[in-house]
Amino acid sequence: MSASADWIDLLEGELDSAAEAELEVLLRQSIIDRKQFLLLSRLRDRIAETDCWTVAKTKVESLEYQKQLTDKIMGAIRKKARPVKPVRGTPRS
Amino acid sequence: MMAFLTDHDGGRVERRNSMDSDHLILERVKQGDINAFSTIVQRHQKAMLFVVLRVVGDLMLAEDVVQEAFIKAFQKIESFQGRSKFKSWLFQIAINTAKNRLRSMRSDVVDIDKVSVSHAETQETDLSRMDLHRILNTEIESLPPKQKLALSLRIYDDMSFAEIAEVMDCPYDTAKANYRHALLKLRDKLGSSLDLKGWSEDRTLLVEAER
Repeated sequence: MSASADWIDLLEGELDSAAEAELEVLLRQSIIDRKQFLLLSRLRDRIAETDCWTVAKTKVESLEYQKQLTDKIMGAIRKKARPVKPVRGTPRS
Repeated sequence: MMAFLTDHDGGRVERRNSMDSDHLILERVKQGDINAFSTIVQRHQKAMLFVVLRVVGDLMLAEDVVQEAFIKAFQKIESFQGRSKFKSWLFQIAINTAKNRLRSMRSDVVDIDKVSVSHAETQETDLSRMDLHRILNTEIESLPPKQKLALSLRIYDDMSFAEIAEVMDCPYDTAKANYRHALLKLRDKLGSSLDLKGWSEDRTLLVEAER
């Protein structure tokens, strides 16, 4: 696994505590590694900020919109969907 | 009323309010209570819409896809055995429906799984935040579909890699690899634009890093 992959795993909280501690030591000791990590961290932050669906999100967040969507979906289900056959008991996985 | 339910991935037992459990609602649906399914729709439609929106890129089309996905889920409800989280199963149906819809719309043009738009590389060193957001959006759109989806589910929808793997119907390591490739590709393309020195709020961190 590349060093970059390690930094991403650290960023995402995907490492066990021993590996995390090892990388944190490296971060304290190496400027180059710190810069690599900060670059990935900042990139992630910038991506999170670039959600291009903000306008759509505002509309979707509205309770009225959500109610209409539920009604539309349930209307379609009642109209098109094959009714569920009642079953005895429920299969368990 | 409280209930103990078995978690899908490790037999871990957790305590949940039964009123909040998808599984108990599903049992009612399986018994023939169509109205109970509206609780499922209400609970998941918004998150599903956001995910599908990122795949298809159009709100009206996303609404159609989500509706179709819920119909499919309702029709196939008996096949849900509870081995995965219901939400992941539902999202998997939605994403497959979205991909199929895009395929049918573009089948005579490109294979959606191979689509990759090329963009002239922009390597400005002193970009405004809006410029960077615009370029980032363009580059995210140009990622291979699986990488873009893994990135979106992780960063915008805050899903764990286990959930992403379920939704994308792939192994855990593949989900993680898709995310990593996406992030590294964006870093490599925007490396100089993302130079920490270009961001005033990063200067403190950089100074700390250089100490």
